[in-house]
Amino acid sequence: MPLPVFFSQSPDADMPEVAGPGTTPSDLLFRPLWPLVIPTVQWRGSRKDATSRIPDTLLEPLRIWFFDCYPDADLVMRLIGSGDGSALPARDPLEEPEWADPVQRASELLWVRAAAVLSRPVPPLVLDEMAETSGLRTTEIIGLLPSLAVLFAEASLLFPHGSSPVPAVVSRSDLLATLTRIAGAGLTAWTFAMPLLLAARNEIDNVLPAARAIALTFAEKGRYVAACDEALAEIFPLFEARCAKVARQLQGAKAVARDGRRVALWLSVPDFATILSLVRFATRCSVHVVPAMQLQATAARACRAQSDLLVAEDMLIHWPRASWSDSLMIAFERGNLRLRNLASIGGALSHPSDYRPGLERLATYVLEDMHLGLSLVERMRTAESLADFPKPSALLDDYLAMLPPPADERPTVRRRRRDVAWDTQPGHKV
Amino acid sequence: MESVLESQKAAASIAPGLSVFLPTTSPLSGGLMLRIYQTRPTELLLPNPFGAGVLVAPPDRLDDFGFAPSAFDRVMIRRIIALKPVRISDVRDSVRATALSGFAGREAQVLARAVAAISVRRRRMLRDQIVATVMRRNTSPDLPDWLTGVLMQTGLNPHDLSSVLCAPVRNRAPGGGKGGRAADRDGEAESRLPPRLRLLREVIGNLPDILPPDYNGTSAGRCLRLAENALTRMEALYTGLAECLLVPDRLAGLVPAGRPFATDLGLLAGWTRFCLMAREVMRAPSRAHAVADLTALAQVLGHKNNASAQDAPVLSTARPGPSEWPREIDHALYLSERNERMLRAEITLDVRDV
Repeated sequence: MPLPVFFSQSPDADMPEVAGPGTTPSDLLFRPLWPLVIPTVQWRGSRKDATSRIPDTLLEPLRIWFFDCYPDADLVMRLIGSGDGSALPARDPLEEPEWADPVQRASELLWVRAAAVLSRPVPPLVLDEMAETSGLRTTEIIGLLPSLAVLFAEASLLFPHGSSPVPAVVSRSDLLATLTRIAGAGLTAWTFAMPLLLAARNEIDNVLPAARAIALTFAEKGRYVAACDEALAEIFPLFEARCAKVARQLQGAKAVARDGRRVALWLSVPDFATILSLVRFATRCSVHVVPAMQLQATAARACRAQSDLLVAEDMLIHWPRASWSDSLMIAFERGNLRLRNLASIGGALSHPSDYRPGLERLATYVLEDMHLGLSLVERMRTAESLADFPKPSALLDDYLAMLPPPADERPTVRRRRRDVAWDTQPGHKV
Repeated sequence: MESVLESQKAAASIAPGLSVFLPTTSPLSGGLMLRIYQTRPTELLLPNPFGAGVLVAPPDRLDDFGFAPSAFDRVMIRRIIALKPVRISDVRDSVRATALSGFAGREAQVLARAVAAISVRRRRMLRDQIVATVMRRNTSPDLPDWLTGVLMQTGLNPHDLSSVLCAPVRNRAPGGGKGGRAADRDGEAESRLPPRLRLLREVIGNLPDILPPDYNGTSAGRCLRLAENALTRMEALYTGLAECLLVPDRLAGLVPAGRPFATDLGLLAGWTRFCLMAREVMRAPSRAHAVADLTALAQVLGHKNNASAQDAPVLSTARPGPSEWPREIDHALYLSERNERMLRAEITLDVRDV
């Protein structure tokens, strides 16, 4: 495939494109488990890790087992393929009002599948094969699977949902019931669930006291409560390590022309919102303040690097010249909202002025590039959704000027007659 | 000096204006109210974002007050104030037309297009039914169009014209009883109820669960009282329309030029949005802010400028401070997204239950 002209003429032509996080089924299936997954060597080396973490070599055999005879595999692959909104089929807006994020929908389908598969016993032959592939003992795998099954079964609480920074609101009774189910599955499941509960976009002020309250109802309450406290202590360094890795990865990254926007980000809007919420919690309650401050500084760097790259890539994308399909336009609007949310959270982590110029530049680009296949109204709306301009844009002013003037400002019939009479008087000069 | 005399006459006029709700998308508030007068310029009422009270502003001069309305709001307000006299149906049409132009996003545009097609069919069917069944020789010639417009605004499905609007009247008939057949009939009538009325009944009926528990005597308590009054008025609107359809003499006495039902119809969209907003309270990032927004909207909706105001407006709405809002969520962005979500729900409300 010939490279785009821009790419070959770029001064940094030898700089490869920064590969972002993937959207393969394996990525979507296991990405929410990031606080738990560690290299198998490390897992073997520590007694504590062996009971509170998941070895990474177990994931691939698990994925193969989940996908074995999976009836919705085609649907999942199609949803992933249309993640950028470009290839979604037309649908009836009234019958299917929610233009859901296809990738999020694919993730949810995969989690449901994983929960269903893990709810049944794994045949010994498959276990042997998994052990051989992952380098683990069969007994070790058997020890981990029930706890993993609980995580996938309670994905609605433990895994991130959607792309909004607003925390999921669960009623108190549902929250307590879910936590009781998790705790009833054993200490390992509880230890696995606690970091996920804090890393997903849940309101920490609600979930942490509820988790401690449930932990206190069990006979081994000391160990259950300790799991809550350890998860809170560890979540700051875990997020910091993730942010530091992203910041390192994006350091000096140059934007190149892409076909469309990135579907998955290194750190999504709910991730940053969780980070900021954790930092706020630590500051307010005076717990883990130093790790929280370190996390804030690292997250600010990662957010800035990611936002700068996304804005720069947006300016280079070959957007369609013809009018945009509904699904593409809706995905584009969702992307604008994502950029705006990232800028807002990044501004709270560091300073808003770090982000404002980039978005204003992008808004101006959308307003002024006449080759984009957007209508005038869509340009105005896109600019408005990207940046806060104190005054309406020139395009909007022109649009308003084309509309009929306000009725109260129009001259009355008597005044118009009087003006005409005055203008037509012989001595009057115009 | 006729202009001076005219302005003095206009200032001296204390005729109450017609209040019409505008479903805005600006992060300013849940919605604005337009007050239309026969002789005086139109006014825009908006909740004071900094505390108590209602601000009165010229409709196209919001920038002078330091607000930056969304493009959707600017265009919608501009379209409406270009009309004189403004009818309630014009306001609704302007909102739909602005959404259809794409100012509220592609999703709202697609929905508005789909609903417009259904509305055209429904309007035609309703008009035919009205002409065939309720028209008499002595009725006003512009009555069918007016009545069709009014019934469309109440969200009535023409298939249910004969049964639904009769339901409240029938229920009041003596000897209805609570037997099995009556319960079945009630259930059937409930399922055929116009979605707007069902939404109002459901949400305002459950409002004590949504508002803070200590609502007695607070602004939330007054908000509840206003909402219950509004529900009574809206029930009366639907019942009144049903009675008009059932009693041809009453229909013949209606003069469309006198704008009957206009006061309640102007507020129907407002109380619909109030209910949609009340549903959002439980999912809101900050409940205190959501309740304050809801109360402020009730205050604007309940605002009256005549001396016959029976229910006192919500006098002082305690606004929570910005420090209570979680920093990780952009307040303005959240509000405008919420308002656009409610606008989409409102557009499709009559053709699909939300």
